[in-house]
Amino acid sequence: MKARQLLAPALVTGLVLFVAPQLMLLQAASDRSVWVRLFDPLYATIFWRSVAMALGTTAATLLVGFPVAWALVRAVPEKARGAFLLLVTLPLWTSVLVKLYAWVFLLRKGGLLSQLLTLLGSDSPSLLYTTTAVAIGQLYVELPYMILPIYASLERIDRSLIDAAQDLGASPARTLARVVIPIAAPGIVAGCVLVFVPSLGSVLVPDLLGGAKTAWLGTLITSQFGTARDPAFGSAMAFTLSVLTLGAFLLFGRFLAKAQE
Amino acid sequence: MKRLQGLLVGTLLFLHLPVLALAVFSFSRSRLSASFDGPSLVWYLKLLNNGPLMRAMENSLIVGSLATFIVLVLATAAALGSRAGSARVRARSESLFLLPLVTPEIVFGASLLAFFSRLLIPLGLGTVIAAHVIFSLSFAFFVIRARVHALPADVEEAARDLGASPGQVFLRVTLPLLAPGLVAAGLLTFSLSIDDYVVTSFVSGAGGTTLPVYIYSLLKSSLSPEIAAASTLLLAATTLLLLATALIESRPRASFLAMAAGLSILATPVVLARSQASGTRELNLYLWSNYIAPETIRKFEERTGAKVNLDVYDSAEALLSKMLAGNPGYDVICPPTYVLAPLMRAGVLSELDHDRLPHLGGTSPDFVGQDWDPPNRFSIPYLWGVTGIASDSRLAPGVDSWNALLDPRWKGRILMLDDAREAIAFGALVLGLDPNTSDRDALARIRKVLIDQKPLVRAYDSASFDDAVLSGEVVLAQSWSGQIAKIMKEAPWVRFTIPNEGAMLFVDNLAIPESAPHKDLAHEFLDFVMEGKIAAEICLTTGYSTPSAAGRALLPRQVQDNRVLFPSEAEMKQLRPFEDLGGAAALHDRLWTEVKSGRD
Repeated sequence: MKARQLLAPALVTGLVLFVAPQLMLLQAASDRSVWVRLFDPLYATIFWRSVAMALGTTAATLLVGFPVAWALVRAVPEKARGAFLLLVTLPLWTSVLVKLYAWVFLLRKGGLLSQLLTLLGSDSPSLLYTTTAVAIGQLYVELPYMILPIYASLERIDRSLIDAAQDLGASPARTLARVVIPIAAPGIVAGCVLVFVPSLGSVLVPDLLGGAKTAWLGTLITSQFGTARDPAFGSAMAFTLSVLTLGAFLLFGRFLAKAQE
Repeated sequence: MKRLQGLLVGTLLFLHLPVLALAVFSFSRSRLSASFDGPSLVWYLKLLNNGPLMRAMENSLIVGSLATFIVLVLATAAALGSRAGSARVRARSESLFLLPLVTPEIVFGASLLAFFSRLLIPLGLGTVIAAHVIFSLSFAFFVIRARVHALPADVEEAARDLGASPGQVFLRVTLPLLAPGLVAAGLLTFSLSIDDYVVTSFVSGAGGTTLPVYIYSLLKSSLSPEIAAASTLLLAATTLLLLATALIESRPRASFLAMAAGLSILATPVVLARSQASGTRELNLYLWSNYIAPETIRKFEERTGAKVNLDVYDSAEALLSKMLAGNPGYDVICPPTYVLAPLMRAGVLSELDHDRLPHLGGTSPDFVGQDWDPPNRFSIPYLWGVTGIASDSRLAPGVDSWNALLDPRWKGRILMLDDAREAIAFGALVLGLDPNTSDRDALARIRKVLIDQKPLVRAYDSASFDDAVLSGEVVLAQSWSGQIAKIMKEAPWVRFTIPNEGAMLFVDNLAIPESAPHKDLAHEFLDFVMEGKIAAEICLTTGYSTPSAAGRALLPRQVQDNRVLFPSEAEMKQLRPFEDLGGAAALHDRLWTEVKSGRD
C-alpha cells in the first residue's frame, strides 16, 4: 500500500458527506433569478460589514494570541506547558451560549464589571449592548482558536535557534521577525482561518452582547432557512460566501508563500 | 519574562472569568440573573432530577467522544498521506480540505438534512455523529498536518534503516512525535462537537437532542441555573480527567483518583438517563425545552407504564423544516398557530380521534374551534401567551399604548423583541394596520415606523428582555407575558400592559404527525395534558397561560386572577393570532433586514 492512499478514507468521507449534500443544495438553487438577487446593494452593505468585523476579530485575536502562545513557550517550563494549554482549552467545554450569558450578567447594569468600572470612576452604568461588549465577546470566543495552532507550531521551535540568533547579535525584534514568525507561519495561517471563518458567520455575540442592532451575514443566511422560508436563496448566498472565502484564503496562501521565498 | 507571565495570567483570568461566574451562580439559591443568594445545592438536585437534560448531556458525551475518535483516525491518515504525495497531490488535497473549513455551519446543516432525507436515512444520534465528523474533519486535518510537516524526516528514516517495520515506525516514532498535534486536534474536535448547535439542530431526530440544542431551546424562557450547574459539572469532570492524564507518570495514585472522580461525574447523566422508566411502550415528544416539567412526564409514565423521550427545538421553523423533510419519529409535536397551516397543507398531520380526547371539553371556548384549525381536526391548544409592554412603573407610569415605545423621552431605554413578526406586528398595531399583512404599501409604512424608532431602541433582544427590565437596563420592553409574570414576583414595580391598540396572541398547539409510530399513546398524552389537574400543573411549572378552563379553575387564587397570565375578557377580545404568511414570509424578512441594516 502506498502511503498516499492514506488520504482515501478522509476523501471518501468528504465526498459522501460534504460534496454530495452540497450538490443537492446547489440543485435547490438552480433558478437563475435567485442568483440575480444577490447583487442587491442591501446585501453588499451587510457583506462588507461582516467582513470588516471578521477581519477586526482576526487581527485582535492575533495581536493577543501570538504573544500568549509565545509566552507559553518562553516563560513556562516544558513540564507545566501541558497544564497551561489545558487551562486555555477548558473554557471551550462550556457552551458558547452559556458563556455569553455569563458575560451578559457581568456586563449588565449592576453586574460585576460595571460595578468595577463605577468604582474606577466611569459614569457609564452598563457596558451591555455596546460595541465594547461586542469586541470583548468576539475576542473572548475566538481567542483560544488562535492561541492553540500558533502554540502548536511554536512549541517545536528549537531554543538554540533563538539563542544563536541573539548570540549573533540579532535584536529581539529581528529574532522575532526572522526566526520565530517564519516558523510560526503555518500556525498563524491556521489560526487566522479558524478565527476568520466563524467570525464571518458570527451571530451570537453581536446579538446577545450588542443588542442585535445591525444585520450580519450569519443572521441573514440563517433566516433564509428559517423565518424567510427561502432556502434556495439561502443556499445561493451560502455557496457564494464559501467560494469567496476560499478564494481569499488561496490568495492569502499564495501571497504568504511568495513572501517566504 | 515577568511580563510574559503576567500576560499568561491575565489571559487565563479573562478566559475563565465567565466560567467561574457561572460556577459561583450554580451554587446560588436565586435565579441566574439575580445577585448571589446564599450557598445552596438546589440547582444540582433539580439537574439530577431532570431526565431530559440528563439525556441531552449523555448524548453530547457520546457524540463528542465518537466523533473525536473517528475524526482523529481519518485526519491523521490523511495528513500522513498528504505528506507522502507529490507537491501537486499535497496542494490539491489541501485545497480540498479547505472547502469544508470555509463553509458556513448553516450550509452543513441544511445540506445534510436534504441529503439524509433524500436517502431516507432516519435522523437520530447516528446522523448527528456523521455531521460532527464531517464538519470537524478539516479542522483536525490542518492541526495535525501542521505537525506532520514539521516532522524531522530523518528520524523515521533512521528507524527504518535500523530495521523497524512500518508498523513499528508508526507506533514508536511517528505517533509519539505527532502526539502534541493529536492532542490539540482531539481537544479542538471535541470542543467543536460538544458546543455545536447549528448543524445538530438540523440533523438530530428522535432521541438525538444534545446539550447545546437543549440550551438554545431555553432561550425563549431565559436560561435556568440548572444549565449553570450542568456546565459546572461538565467542567469539573473534564478538569479532573485532564488532570489525571497530566499526573499519570509522576503520581499514578492521584491520577487514578482524579480519573475515577471525573468518570463518575460523567457517568451520572448516563446512569440517571438509563434508570428512567423503561416501559415497552414509548412516546417521542418534540417540544420547547421548558414546555413540560420532569414531574409531569413522570406522572404520565407512571400512569401508562410507557417511557417518554423528550426532544427539544429552539424555533418553530426548525420544527417545520424537519417535519417537511420527513418525520424523524416524533409522536407529538408542538407547532404554533402560524406553523399549523403549512403543516396541514403538506398533509403531514394525523387527524385526531376526538372520542379518545374526552378532556377537550374542559378547554376554554377562546381556544377551541378557532380559525387556525376550526374543528380541532389536527391540533389541541397547549399553552399560550400575549406580546405586550413590560414597564418600570416607578419611572414610566400609565403606559397604555404602543406609542409609548415611540416616545423620545425613553431614548436608549427601550427594548424590542428580536423577531421580525413581532416587530412588524408592533408597527402595524401602531398604524392601525393588519399585523399579518403582506400588502407592500402597508409594509412600507410599517418599515418607516420601525426605522424611525431605531435610534430610541437600546437593544433588540428576545432572550433576556425580562432581565433587562429587572436590572433597570431598560424602562420599557416589548415582552412576552409568561416571563414577565415570573419576574413580577420578585419585582412588584414591573407592569405588563396589553395596549389599547390590541396585541398579538401566540398559541402553541399539540399535534400528532401522520407518520407517528405510536399514535395511540400520543392520543393518551394529549388527553392527559388537558386534564384539569395536569393542565394547572403545566401552567404553574412552565409559567405560561393554560387554555384549559378546568385547569385554570384549579390554580391558586392569585394565579387565576393574575391579569398578565389571564387577561380580562375585554382584553382577550383585542388579541389577534399570528397567521401563516405563506410566500410573504420573505417580504417580512427582507423588511426586518432593512430595518436592522439602516441607521443605528
